[in-house]
Amino acid sequence: MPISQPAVPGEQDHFNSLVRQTVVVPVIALALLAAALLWGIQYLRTSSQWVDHTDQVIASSHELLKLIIDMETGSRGYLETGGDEFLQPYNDAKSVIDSRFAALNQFVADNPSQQARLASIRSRFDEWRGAAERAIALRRGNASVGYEAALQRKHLMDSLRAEHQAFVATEERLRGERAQASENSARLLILACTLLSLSFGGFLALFTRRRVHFLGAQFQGLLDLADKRAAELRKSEERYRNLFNSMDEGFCVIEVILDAEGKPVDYRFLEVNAAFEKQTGLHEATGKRMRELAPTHEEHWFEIYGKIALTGEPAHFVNEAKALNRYYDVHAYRVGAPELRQVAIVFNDFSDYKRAQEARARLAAIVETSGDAIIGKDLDGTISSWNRSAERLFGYSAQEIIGQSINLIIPPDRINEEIAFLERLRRGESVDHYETVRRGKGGEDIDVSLTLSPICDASGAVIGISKSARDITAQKQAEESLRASEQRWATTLQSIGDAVISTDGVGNIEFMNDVAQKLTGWTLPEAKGKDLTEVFDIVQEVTRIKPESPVAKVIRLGQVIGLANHTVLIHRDGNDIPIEDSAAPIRNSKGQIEGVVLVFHDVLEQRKVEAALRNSDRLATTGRLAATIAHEIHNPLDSVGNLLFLIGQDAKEDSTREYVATASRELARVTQMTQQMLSFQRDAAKPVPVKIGKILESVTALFERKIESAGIRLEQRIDFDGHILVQPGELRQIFANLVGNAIEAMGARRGTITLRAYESLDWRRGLPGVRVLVADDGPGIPEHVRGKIFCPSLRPRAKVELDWDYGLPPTFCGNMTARCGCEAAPSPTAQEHASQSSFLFRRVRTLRCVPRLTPWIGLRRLLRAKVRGQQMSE
Amino acid sequence: MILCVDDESTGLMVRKILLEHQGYKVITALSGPEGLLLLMDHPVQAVVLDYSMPGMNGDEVAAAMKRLKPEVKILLLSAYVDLPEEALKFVDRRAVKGMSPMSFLEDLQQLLSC
Repeated sequence: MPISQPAVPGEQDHFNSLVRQTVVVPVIALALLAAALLWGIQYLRTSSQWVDHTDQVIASSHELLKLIIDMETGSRGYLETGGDEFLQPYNDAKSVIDSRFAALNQFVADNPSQQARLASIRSRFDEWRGAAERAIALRRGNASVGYEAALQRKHLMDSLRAEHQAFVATEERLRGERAQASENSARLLILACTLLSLSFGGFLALFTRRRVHFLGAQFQGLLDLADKRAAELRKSEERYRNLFNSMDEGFCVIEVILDAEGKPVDYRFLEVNAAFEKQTGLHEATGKRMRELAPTHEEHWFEIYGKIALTGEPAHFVNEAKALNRYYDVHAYRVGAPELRQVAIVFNDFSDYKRAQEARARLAAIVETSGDAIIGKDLDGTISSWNRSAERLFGYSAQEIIGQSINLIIPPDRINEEIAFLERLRRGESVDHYETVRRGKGGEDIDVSLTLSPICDASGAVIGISKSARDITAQKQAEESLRASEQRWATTLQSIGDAVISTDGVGNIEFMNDVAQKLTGWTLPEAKGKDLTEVFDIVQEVTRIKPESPVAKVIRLGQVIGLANHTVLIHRDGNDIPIEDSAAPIRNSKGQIEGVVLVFHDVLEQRKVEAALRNSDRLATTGRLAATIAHEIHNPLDSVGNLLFLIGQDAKEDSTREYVATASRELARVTQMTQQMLSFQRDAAKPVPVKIGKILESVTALFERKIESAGIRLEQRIDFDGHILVQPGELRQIFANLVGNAIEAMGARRGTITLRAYESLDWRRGLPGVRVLVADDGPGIPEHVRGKIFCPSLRPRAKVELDWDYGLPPTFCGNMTARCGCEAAPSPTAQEHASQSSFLFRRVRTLRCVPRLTPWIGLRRLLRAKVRGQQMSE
Repeated sequence: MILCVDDESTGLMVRKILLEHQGYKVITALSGPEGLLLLMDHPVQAVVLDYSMPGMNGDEVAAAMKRLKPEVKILLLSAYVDLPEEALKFVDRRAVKGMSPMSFLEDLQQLLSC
């Protein structure tokens, strides 16, 4: 403890007063002594100055006398010799003599008698100088200087010298007096100073001795007091240390370490208590730095302690120390001087409480966000907790129902149910997934699945019930929906065109749809439970070898499989049915194969169509070849025609002209045939925009002569001038076929062929397009083939019955309409009137070259009935 | 004067006889370039031009002829009924080969008279 801080204020004043006296009194005494000394020295100095002054006056008077004598000597030399050089000393002295008189007069200004004497000297000098000047003037004028004058000057000079001597004698006397006085003063001063010093020294010695003695006594008292206080402090510290060491809280004193910028970066443990290690897990921390003990200790700890150390503001907080895997409740405050940056910390491991708090919060969140309604109630049925799902399910808010009876949500007829539950729970049993009905706020019944558990206290006694209610309305709806879905799928499977068989995981049949029953020859009741291979008997078409069972293959590979090509299903009646099929595994939710579904269909019809199409393509190829040949023979035909014409022109005999005419007709026939063949040539591989009118014109130009010769009337009306996007060669060929057939069908009748093109609507879809009508009033197509007119397989019969011996067969025609982007179908008119037949070609592709039009072409052929104009076109 | 161009020499010769028989003055060429040379050297009124020829096709020859003599009339002969529209751009009239000589002569007469 510092001495300057005695505990009693009165004592301190006294002590301070003593200290002041001890210091001040000697200082004053010494100052007085110094002042006396100074005065003495000053006195001595003044005395000495007067002696020096007298010396100066004497020296100055002697100098003055010397100048006067120089003047006298100079004047005497001149007067005797008349040489000017003897006047030099006279003149030299004359020039300064006045100033010397003045200076000396100044020196003796303090002494009037001496001043009077100096004035006397001056007057005698002035008198002598006047006489000397006169004598010099006479001598210069070579006049003689009288003796009396010389004697006068001598007397003057003598009196002057006597006066000067008296002056000097006075000064010397004064000097002797002053020197004596100075010496006496010095002696007196030395004596006085010695005496004064001795007396002051004695006084100070006595004074200081007394004061120091007194101060020593005081100091000893204070030392005793400080010792007493220190002992008390040690005792207190010991008590506190014992307290800190005995308390459960951790305690430590740290010193905050700052970096170069004054930012807290670490701290050192100066002191820790016994609980510190238990609370932190840090061993022997004293003297060590925190970063050394826990390098990953969070930055905020250093910041908080740094702030406390720098500002002195205490803090209380809870924070996590991840490095120590604990939470702490901390009180921290600065201790000692601010510059020491020491912080005392009392802390408590808060981890258990914090974790319990978190766990509680988590549980509360789980309960709150649970999809199930969770309700807590007392044994008497009073609701104590009510989560959000309960609010949603029953419609009551927690606020309005907590504290109410649970009977509020139980229908009256089920109250007994709740009593039975309570009995079971009291016995320690629980109720799991009990499906029942509860009542919502609006009085509506709610299907719920209940789970009830007892809430026990620490002793195991049941103190309440936790009830979890799950809304199973949706589940029940889902079950119903599943049943409906199953029904829907069953219906779908029954109605689809493909045959479907499903088996269990070992290949026993579970389901067959109608198509499968028809193709296998087995009914579902007969086949159910039977092995698939027995019912679905398949072989390779050519080798008749049985392939691996699709079920076995699917189970082996675990994936969708397709059957090998040329698989044949043997019907129960022994007939072969070519099929295409695939089989897929049916997996459960775990991905395990629970069964196999087999889908297959009869490919007989498909094969027929493919064969017909291949045939059609061959025909097209043949057509192109024929067209090339036709073109080559056209040139000689042209020449032959011209030659026959020339021969006919020049023939003189009728028979010759007859022969030439016959030859010309036959030639025309050949030419027409070759032109038909030529039109097989397709000039554009891709659709191009063309005008339908141009195509129809070229077709009618082709048949112009034939129509004329057959006496047929051609009614042609083109009301559409826009472009359509088609392959013109093929379209021309279609029209040529229809027109050619119409001409042929007319036979000997002189009927009418109608050709029309106009904008219209697709009657089925309502789309805008172009309708082209080719009609005749011939005999029509028989009813039994009308619907199948484009079916390739029917071609031979159609040809026979329709006498389709000219142009393209209808199969080929249908194929080409498909290729040029049209669709061919019987017209509604044909269906309504059995006596009429027609074709409808409908354009189905949207074409960008045709502005705002989706063209379709209706071609109608009427073979017998009258042309019905608007009625037919619509 | 009529200029007949065709790569088929027999057909060309017969067409020449037919036209001369009808009183026309006829010159012939077996290719497009030869026809163009003749056109430049003779006062041709009309050209009977075959469409399908090696080297220069009838439409190309017609275009070149129209550039040389815009006033000359061109009748394009072809066995194909569905010639592309571009082929007929420089042609005044077209006739189908193999049709009767009467209609051919009528076509030519109409071409010359218009």
